[in-house]
Amino acid sequence: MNYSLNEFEDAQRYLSERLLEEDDDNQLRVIARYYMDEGCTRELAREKVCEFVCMCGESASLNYWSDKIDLAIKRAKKTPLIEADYISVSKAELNRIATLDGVRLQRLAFTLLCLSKYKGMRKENNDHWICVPDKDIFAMANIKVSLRKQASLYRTLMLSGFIRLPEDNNSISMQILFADDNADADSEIKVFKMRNLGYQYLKYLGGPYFECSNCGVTVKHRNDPDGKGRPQKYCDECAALIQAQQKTEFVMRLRAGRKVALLV
Amino acid sequence: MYDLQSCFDEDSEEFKTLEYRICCGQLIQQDTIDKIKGIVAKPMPKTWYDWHSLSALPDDRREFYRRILANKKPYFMKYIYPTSARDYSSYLKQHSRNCMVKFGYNVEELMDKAENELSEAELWFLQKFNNALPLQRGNCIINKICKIFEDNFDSVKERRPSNEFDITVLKTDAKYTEAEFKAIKKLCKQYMEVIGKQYRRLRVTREERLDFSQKIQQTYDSFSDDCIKVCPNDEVRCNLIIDIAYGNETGKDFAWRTSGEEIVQQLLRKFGTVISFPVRNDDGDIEYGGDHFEMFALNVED
Repeated sequence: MNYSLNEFEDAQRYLSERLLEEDDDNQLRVIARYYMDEGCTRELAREKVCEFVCMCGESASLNYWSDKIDLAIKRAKKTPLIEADYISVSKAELNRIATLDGVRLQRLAFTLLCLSKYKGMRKENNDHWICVPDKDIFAMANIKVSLRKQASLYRTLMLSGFIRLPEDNNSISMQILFADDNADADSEIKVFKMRNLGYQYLKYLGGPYFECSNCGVTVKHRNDPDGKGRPQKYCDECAALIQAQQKTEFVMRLRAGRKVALLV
Repeated sequence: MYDLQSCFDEDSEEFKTLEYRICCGQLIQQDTIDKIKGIVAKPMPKTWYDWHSLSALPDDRREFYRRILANKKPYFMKYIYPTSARDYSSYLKQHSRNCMVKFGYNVEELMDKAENELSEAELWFLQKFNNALPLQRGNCIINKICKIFEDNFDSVKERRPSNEFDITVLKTDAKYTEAEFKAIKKLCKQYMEVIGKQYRRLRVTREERLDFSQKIQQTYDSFSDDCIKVCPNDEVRCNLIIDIAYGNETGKDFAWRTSGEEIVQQLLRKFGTVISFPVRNDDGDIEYGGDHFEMFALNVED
């Protein structure tokens, strides 16, 4: 799932670029809510979302997307769009996280904290409860461990008083107990992207991480950042895109130059 | 109800009441089947299987009825109903995770512990776990047989047969581009999801088989039309679908349903118009299923 801080801008981008991603369950909900916020009724918003799906490509089949659109409309009614610039994490919260034994545990705690603030933006008086699948949490924390180890990490956090599990044993929810509601006043880290939160925490600790100039995601330096040569500017995905773009521009310039030479 | 009955002593009121209900259940089932003949079939009382209907009962009977409420399928049914298996495994997985976080071990390890070794919190956890289980784990005979099979076959891994069939036999030399492959593969994936949903809906709605097979065929026809828009050439399209289907993406049935005629035409063009098939013959040299067969060749061009 895509955890975006500015869903309003995302909706506009999807509509202008006619981008339809099969793996992103949230995308249609965001577009549907965007239309609802513009004053469309549920039925009209559904029609507009169907139009959007049809515009996205010949191979987009309404037969396949119909159920997903219905679910998106249902969810859009309940969940407003998030429009925030960043999430603040205060010095006090970071000091509390630093008391944990082990950087991996600290990354997990940092990720849970950011998620609780993110969920709080969607629903006021959430009381720092989150209900996010474990695979999303650990992917955002950049931690790859077995299921048993994941449970062991949660257990350590629970015994240290950082999280609380609900009475319902069938639930994946947890309450974050160390979040500070007044983090904006004492902001030490500003989280602009809800991706690679583990790396963002490691960057704060002084690790070899940087923010991609194109997409803003925090990634690890491929080589020694203090070594020879220019420092890395883009993540691997953006680097490939930009290289392809630059190559295309170069070839266009070359052909334009040759054309002018021929005319002369 | 047998699985629920196995949880009580033979002399108990619960056991005897369930015995009575089992007998009544057989009669009710038979009457329901014969309803079409005009027999007035009395339905099973809701208080025997529905939790919510217990609230209408007087307070002194409610607890007794709750103890003998048959609102769950027995454990062995997970091998018959895939939804039961899915619900059970996701329930177990979620509880194992929470059990590991709260106590440091998973549910199975907790259940193996002796009752006097469990703390109050662990006992309460187990009680809640057993109460909300989607399947009944009573010690009825079939559940016990199921457990024996599971214990013995736990360590046995299913070996998939290797795919030795050479699919180039079905294809021609026509080449396709990567863009066409990706587009058709995407369509295949989408349509397989749609077909999967239709089959799941059939189990719930139980619509007529004829209507359903027409609906499925319409879906396949719709897929074929979409594929023609992406790749109008019949030979290239057929090769693409064979590669995708036999590459385990969608299953071989998908290829034959959508491009069956084209595949047969390709085979006839490749290997001549003679087809060979076994025909029953008492003097034949092929023996199968207690009968004898011989190969018969037919020229389809005729």
